Amino acid sequence: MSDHTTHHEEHHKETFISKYVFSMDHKMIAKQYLITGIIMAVIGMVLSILFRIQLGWPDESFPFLEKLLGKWAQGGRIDPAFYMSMVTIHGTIMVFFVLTAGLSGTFANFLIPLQVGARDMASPFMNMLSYWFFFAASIVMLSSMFVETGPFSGGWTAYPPLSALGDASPGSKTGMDLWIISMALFVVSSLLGGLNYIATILNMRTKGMSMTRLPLTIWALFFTAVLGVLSFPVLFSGFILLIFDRNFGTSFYLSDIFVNGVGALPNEGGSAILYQHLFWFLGHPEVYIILLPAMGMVSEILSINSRKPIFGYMAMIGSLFAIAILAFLVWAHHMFVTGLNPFLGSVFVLLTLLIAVPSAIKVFNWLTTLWRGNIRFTPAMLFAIGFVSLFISGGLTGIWLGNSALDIHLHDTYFVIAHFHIVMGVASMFGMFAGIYHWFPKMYGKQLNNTLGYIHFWVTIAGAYLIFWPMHYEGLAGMPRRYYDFSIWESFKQFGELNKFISLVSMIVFMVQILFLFNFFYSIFKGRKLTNQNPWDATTLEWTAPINPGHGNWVGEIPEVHRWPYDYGKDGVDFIAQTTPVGADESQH
Amino acid sequence: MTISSTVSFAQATMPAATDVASQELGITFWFYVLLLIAAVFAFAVVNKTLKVLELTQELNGKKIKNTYNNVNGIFFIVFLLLFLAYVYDQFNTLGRMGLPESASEHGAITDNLFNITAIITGIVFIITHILLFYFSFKYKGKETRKAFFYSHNDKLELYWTIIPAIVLAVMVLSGWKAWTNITAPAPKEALTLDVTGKQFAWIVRYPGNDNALGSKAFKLVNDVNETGVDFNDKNAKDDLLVNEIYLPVNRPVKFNFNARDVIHSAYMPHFRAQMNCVPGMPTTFWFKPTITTEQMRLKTNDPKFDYLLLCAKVCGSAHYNMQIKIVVVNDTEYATWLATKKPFYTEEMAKQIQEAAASVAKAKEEKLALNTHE
Repeated sequence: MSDHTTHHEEHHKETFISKYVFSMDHKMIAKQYLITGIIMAVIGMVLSILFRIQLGWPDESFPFLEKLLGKWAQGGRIDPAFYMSMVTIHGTIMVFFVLTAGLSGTFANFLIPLQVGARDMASPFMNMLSYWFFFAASIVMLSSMFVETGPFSGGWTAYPPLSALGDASPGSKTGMDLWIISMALFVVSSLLGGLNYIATILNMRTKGMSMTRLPLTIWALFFTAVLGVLSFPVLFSGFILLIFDRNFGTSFYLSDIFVNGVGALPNEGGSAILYQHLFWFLGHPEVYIILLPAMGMVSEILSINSRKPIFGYMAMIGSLFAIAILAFLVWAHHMFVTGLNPFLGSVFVLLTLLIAVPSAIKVFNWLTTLWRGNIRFTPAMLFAIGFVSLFISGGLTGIWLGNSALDIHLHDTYFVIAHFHIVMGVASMFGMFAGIYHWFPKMYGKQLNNTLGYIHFWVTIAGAYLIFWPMHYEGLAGMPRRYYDFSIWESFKQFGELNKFISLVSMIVFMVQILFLFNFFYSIFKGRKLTNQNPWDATTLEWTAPINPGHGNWVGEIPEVHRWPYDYGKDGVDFIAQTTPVGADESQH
Repeated sequence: MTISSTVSFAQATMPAATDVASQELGITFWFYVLLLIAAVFAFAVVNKTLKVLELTQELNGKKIKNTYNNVNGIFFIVFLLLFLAYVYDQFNTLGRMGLPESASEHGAITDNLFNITAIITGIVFIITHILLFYFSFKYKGKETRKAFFYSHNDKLELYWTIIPAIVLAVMVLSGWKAWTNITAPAPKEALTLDVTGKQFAWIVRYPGNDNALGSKAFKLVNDVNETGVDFNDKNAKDDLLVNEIYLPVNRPVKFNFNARDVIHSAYMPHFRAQMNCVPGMPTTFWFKPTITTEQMRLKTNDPKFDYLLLCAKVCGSAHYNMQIKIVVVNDTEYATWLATKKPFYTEEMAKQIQEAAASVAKAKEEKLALNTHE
């Protein structure tokens, strides 16, 4: 064994730069993604707290805001244009930089080679490139917040003509240029990553690791990568056309426009709705790009900590597949009130509500996995159970929004905010937390503090429901999204106290996330050292690697796989690792 | 209204900046910080106590109990009860502030669909949450328990594929019925209005006595003729521009929507109506108001109640204040109101329009001239 280690080190004379900065080790790249994602998440969260202050106390002035934001909060009151910018950048950062790159980037990079039994990704260089494109995208996105005319302020969906016309809003000037450059870099990053994930899963599985022996995390990450590779180019093309409209005078999205103070524009014949089709052709699969990795990790964690196999392994793969297919066929449900042909609307209603079937299968299978288990409440397990709860709550309101007749009333209201924050925002974040708590020991060879983990979970789940549940009612009352101030509206004044309450809860939840960050960074350096190679008694391959695996993951031969990854409690044995050959007298599952 | 004037209007309606307010926020904020620190401290004390207990038990030779597992398991059942109580409480208190009474004919269909959906999803929500948290409590780990190896059951999985599919089929069908009803073409006798969104106001044009809107063309838009009405069209001569939308009760009204600069969305929550207003692409929506403003004021017991048309698609910094009042009245009141309105096309206006058009043409020429110099 020591022979192999020395042999291994000879080949990799690692400097600080090659080990920590331009690393080609998938584990280091995963950590880079995770840390960058965490930094972006903190920024996104701070933005949300700032605009929650505006929503909670619209009539009041806070001198500290002027100190913090300068000209954007003169007299301690947030400027309406900057409020819109904060909402926009919060959305962009959270959807793309945290829940796409931060989530998939971290766990696809970390888990795929370790769980399929590969030394590294199919192309470690492309993998490194993928991270650095993401890094560049993050830097450009953050720098857009400091330009004179302010960051882009038309919402994370960036619908033209608002996003195409610099004269229509100050945020659509330089801020939008940087936004779109950042997004273009981001698309490149996610394509490089996605191709790598697919290639690794299909080609680099170890001996015996057939597709039906893959852990569900890998299946979920596989479908995620396929979704990304097929849909991000469409978004990219949409952005290219937008750049042409902005900078080269074309009229893909523009027609018959007269801007206040500027006059009539010469553009003719374009369609503003075309952009929405291109955007949502990514935008809807994007929701599943965010959700599927969380689903995969939750399936894994629920099974491990219930000490039972995941119920209906094949059905779980089938439902992931169904969701992936349907994800491409429902984009227009974001566009029911754009003047879409009503018949087409009905088709999209049918396809949208169909997604509820595979989702229901997943939920019932998770519930059955818990049933008659021997549940071990690690913090990861708590977050996995929390994920299921949030997925149910948010998924059910999706049935409201997916029905076009109801969407007429609910479209672009707080009901939508409540729905997607619960089902895609908080739920995926819970998936990410579950993943971090579960694989932290593998990542850093240390353990996180459990007590802080428990506090983190209970405050966060209670906070998430206290924040987003009442928003359903605000949406039903007709409160539109992206409004700077509701206190000037007679009909929305009744929610003043509620908005204040929501803002306060969001601050508490924010502080608990800081507690988590403390736990995370403290434990990296000072956490309890891992002594057991397999701390969770799990069956999958990553726990057969050394506690602190080097580049190449396994010393010596890559282990061979003999069974599926869910032999928990079989024949009275607590768990049987995937590497254990099938015994002669073993029962079939 | 330009951007700056709308914004300054909105800010003028707010009270002046006070330090008291920020102090108040400071106090509440630090209060919650302290509360959180106290909670963490309390948790840490409990944590240590449990550890000490476990150690003493171990010293006394008893088997170590997994205290944390029990605590979290119990937390789940407590959370379930609190959560369901909270949901019920919100339903009782916020439920009344939520969906306003519908004031249009199709609104009843929409609300019916709301009820069906709420009941079905509500039942599923309660059952699944009871199962999820009860299982978490019931099957919390114990030394003595053995997990039940149960990998799949095709029959069971088939059931929970088919049953949701049937329930969803019901929702799709009832949704489809409502949707085709709402999106059906407007009846011929409908009052037709032309509504144009611009940053940050609504321009509403009535057809006047002939009940026919004059045609319009984008090329004719200028600062005076804001929507580009073609005044050579006979029908345009008696068209009206209004500051408030008056609608006769029980008569269908058809809105022709358009936008001048960016996408807006005309949202009328009380009428369960919404349609995007897109530059370069006309859209339409129709409904029949059934309750007058007066009646609604009595019903809601709110003398200040008004129907609104508000913008629901982000359109710029003053997006949050892009509204126009809708007043639903009976036929005689409507006729009286209509009689007070004068067509917006006058001799003077014609002159202004010509001047504006001329200045636009001149500006264009100058621009072209400038280009040739270069």
